[in-house]
Amino acid sequence: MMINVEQLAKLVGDLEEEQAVQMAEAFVVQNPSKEEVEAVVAACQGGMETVGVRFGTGEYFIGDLIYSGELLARIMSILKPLMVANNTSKTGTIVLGTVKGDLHDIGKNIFRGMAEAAGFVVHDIGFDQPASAFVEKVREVKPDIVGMSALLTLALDGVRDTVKALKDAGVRDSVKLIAGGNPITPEFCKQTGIDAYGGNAANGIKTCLAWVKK
Amino acid sequence: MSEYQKALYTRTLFDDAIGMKKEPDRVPVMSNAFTWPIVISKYKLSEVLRDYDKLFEIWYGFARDYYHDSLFDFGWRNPMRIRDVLGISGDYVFNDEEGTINHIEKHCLEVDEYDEFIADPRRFMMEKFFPRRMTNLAGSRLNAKNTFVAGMNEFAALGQYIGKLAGAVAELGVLLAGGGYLTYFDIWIHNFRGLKGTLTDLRRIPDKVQAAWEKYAPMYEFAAYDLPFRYSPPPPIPPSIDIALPLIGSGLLSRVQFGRFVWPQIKQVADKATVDGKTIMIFAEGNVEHLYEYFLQLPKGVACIQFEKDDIRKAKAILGKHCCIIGGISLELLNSGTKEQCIEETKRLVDDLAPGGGYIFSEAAMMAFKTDGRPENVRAVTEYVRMNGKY
Repeated sequence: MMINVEQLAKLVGDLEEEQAVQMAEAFVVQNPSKEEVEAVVAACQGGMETVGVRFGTGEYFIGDLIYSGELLARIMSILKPLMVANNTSKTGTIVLGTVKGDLHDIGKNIFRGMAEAAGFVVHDIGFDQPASAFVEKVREVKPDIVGMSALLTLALDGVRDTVKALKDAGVRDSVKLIAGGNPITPEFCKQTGIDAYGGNAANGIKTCLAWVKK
Repeated sequence: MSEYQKALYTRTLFDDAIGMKKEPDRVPVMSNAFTWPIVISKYKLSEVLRDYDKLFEIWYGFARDYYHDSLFDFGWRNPMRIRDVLGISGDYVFNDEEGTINHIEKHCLEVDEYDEFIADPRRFMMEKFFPRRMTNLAGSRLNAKNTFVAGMNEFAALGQYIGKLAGAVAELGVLLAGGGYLTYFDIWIHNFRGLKGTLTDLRRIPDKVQAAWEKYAPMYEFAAYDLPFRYSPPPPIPPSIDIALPLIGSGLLSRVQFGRFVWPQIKQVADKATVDGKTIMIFAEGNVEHLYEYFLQLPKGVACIQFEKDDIRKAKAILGKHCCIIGGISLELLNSGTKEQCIEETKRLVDDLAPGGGYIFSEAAMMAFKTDGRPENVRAVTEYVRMNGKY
């Protein structure tokens, strides 16, 4: 292996951006194999898992999660040409959006960054999205998972409407549903027929990974 | 009692709670209502925030019909007429049907412009920041001058509205909270670099961020502290607390980042306020439990802290001998509980938190939406504290 993957995972987990980027840049110019690229992506995923664990234990804060997303996006942009060229395998597909009535997207973007790091193809439809936009995208890309984000308490109606629209369109049972954001609670998810409560982004990713590995 | 005597009595309640030298006569009640009184009224949110007569009607009615001793927001937080005139309203998205405002982030400083800002911050502000942030200032010098004059007139109109409201609610024994002062961190998030940009800059280029804030500080300190709190005559009706200091994004930071980038400014303003005999209300959004070690360094008896997501009993236990605690009743209970349940919870809060003083009762989070409380519940809990929160 042309790169110390354990060291890369540690650098990502420690949020040591410059050193991690230098390693990735040195790696891509060495014409690595598909397996080596996958091992490097897995190392980044491992680093992000560390970020999630440290967030859970209170060592990291939301600001660190947001920054980790930026760090990861930078490394992924370096690796992306190799991933495309080598047709690196994908974990699963997620349709993601902030529901209607809510223009907040930071939580959604953290989740997207971590999901992409975990190997998911994420179709991010943006914020303030009506239920019909979720349905349309689900029909188009046939994802494994639909993620709904909401920050405002009033946007809970948008989440309910989205779940109902997916049911009405007959696509509800073809996907797993997850929701996250400040007003979302496990009770709300249960009442609304959502499969999982996202909690924080790191926990949400764990749930999604468990679903696609089954 | 005259209007002024009533105002002084209410001010004394807050001073005693914050000063912590003696228990106040009773537990003061601070409102945490923001747009809630507007969205439960017959008017549209976008309409009221642009009409001082309607704002007066709403906030005077709120002061009269509920039992708070002080209003924290009363229309200052979203001064739409000033924003419209200056051209900074484009980042507000109103939904009058739902009664919401969404804010769209706007950057006025690009990451590669830090050096330019640090080299000459005044020039950057005049030539780049203001035309970007206040788009109506862009264009010809004449246009900029006319926009500036119109903006000043709107500031004066806001001042007149606040003066009128302060006098009217003082007759009810209700005071308005004092002027706002922001941390550079929050100013950066809201006006310069956005949330993601600011948080990323703190990691990638911390020295440049710090250098930029050091250059920005003299301008801001003069405009936001010295001018209103040192060089201006005191308002005819005293505020409940002198300086409102929101900590909007600090809960996102680690204690190390907070200690380096935010805390020195708060400590400095608290020290200045102590010298000037002013009181400060820190309005902490999110959970800030990891920052208590800093709050314990505040000068004793100068500040009160409003908590949103912290365990308020734990906050009182840790900080209670040092600074006054504000908060308590959850919006979920105010919205979905019965009147009796709300009163029972209020009794528990007062029984646990009031002994020894240093406690101000309030709703536990900003009341912004229709579902943030039922009017009869909000009335019942504030009335309970006023009648039963006596020492």
